[in-house]
Amino acid sequence: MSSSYPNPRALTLPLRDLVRGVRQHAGPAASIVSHALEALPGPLRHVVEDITPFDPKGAGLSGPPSPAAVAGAAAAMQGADMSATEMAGCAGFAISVLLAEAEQPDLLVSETILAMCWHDAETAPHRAAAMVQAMIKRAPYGVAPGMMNAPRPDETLALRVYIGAVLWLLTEPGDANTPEEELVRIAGWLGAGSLDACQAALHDPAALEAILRDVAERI
Amino acid sequence: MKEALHVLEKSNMPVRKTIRRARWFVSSFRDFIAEVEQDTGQVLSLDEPKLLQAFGNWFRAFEAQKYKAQEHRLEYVTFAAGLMLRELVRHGPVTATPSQGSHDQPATFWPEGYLYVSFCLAVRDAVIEQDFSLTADTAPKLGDLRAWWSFRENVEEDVNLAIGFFEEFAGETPNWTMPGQFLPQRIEKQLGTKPQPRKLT
Repeated sequence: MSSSYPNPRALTLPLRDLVRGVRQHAGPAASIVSHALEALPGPLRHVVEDITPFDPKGAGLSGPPSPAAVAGAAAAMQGADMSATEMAGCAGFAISVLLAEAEQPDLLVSETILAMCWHDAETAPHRAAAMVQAMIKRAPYGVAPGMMNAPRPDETLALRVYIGAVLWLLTEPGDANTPEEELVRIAGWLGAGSLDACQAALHDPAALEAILRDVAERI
Repeated sequence: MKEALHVLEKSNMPVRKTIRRARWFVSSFRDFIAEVEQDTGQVLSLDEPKLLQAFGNWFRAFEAQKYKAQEHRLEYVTFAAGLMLRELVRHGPVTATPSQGSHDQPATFWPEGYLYVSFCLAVRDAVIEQDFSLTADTAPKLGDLRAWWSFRENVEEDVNLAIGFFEEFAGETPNWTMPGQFLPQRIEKQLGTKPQPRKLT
């Protein structure tokens, strides 16, 4: 029996965000009913499981983007073209890894807002700096509406996450030795070490861009 | 033990550049831990955020004094590896599970310190071999437990002394007065009086 639940990847961005939000609500519900589900006969259990799919990644984003997309994002940071959807997927992946690392996996990442951030940044002369500034302005992750127990996002964490995500976007793709999740974590750790310098240069795009590129080269 | 750094060969860059990239630094350090665990029977756990802090600090310290190295590149390799040791000792990214038995060897007396020194020596030796076609002669002090006692005790007081101890372990004359400063003239004076790395045949 197949589920009529829509595949988020098949939807346009706002709907994908919406479905991830619904799934986030469904996650705790699924864990609450999981013991009861064991008592149900197979076919019925599968129907209920399909209604309340539990996504261990919380925000519901899929795994790492393809190597071509990662390479494309790095090139786009240098001035090449990239669709907003692809950039949003890459940036969303990085943010979700960094949020999980900060033990905040339940915060919802919006690819729609990330696409808007890229629209802001791609026309700017300093794209990496502009992407950080756009994310600060638009806040692409947060608590899903109606989530009562979720922690409130804090601003220092947000800046750390945005800088880490942009550092990863700037760097060249990983390989068998260093998968993308680890590169994102490395970017987050190195970004945390340059947080003060980035903060001081937040209103100077050229200076911020130079810092970001310098740190990204170390990844 | 520089063979354990084979992961660095997967990069298309020379070791001296590869080791300055966090991704290669972390993966080679992780491989090195596995090698030391196998050789010594120690169980070592790695805190990667601390390792990255050590890497970040080392990179900044390395860059800050690099300008002095233009005419003294060989000497700067040892000094830079000493800076790396200083940051590893300062941040302590590795923890050894306490083990029973005798602690009369450097690897068992201070497993974390032994790992850090071995890693930094391996990086130094790999760079010297690749860039200068030299093999480095290590000093007998490396196996001298009294030197390790002194090393451990002194770096607790002043972590900069790790650089001096590294120079000693590497067979060079340590700069005890200002170990954190690269002083190439001082090294030049010593060149005629101490054993030098030998040319590869």
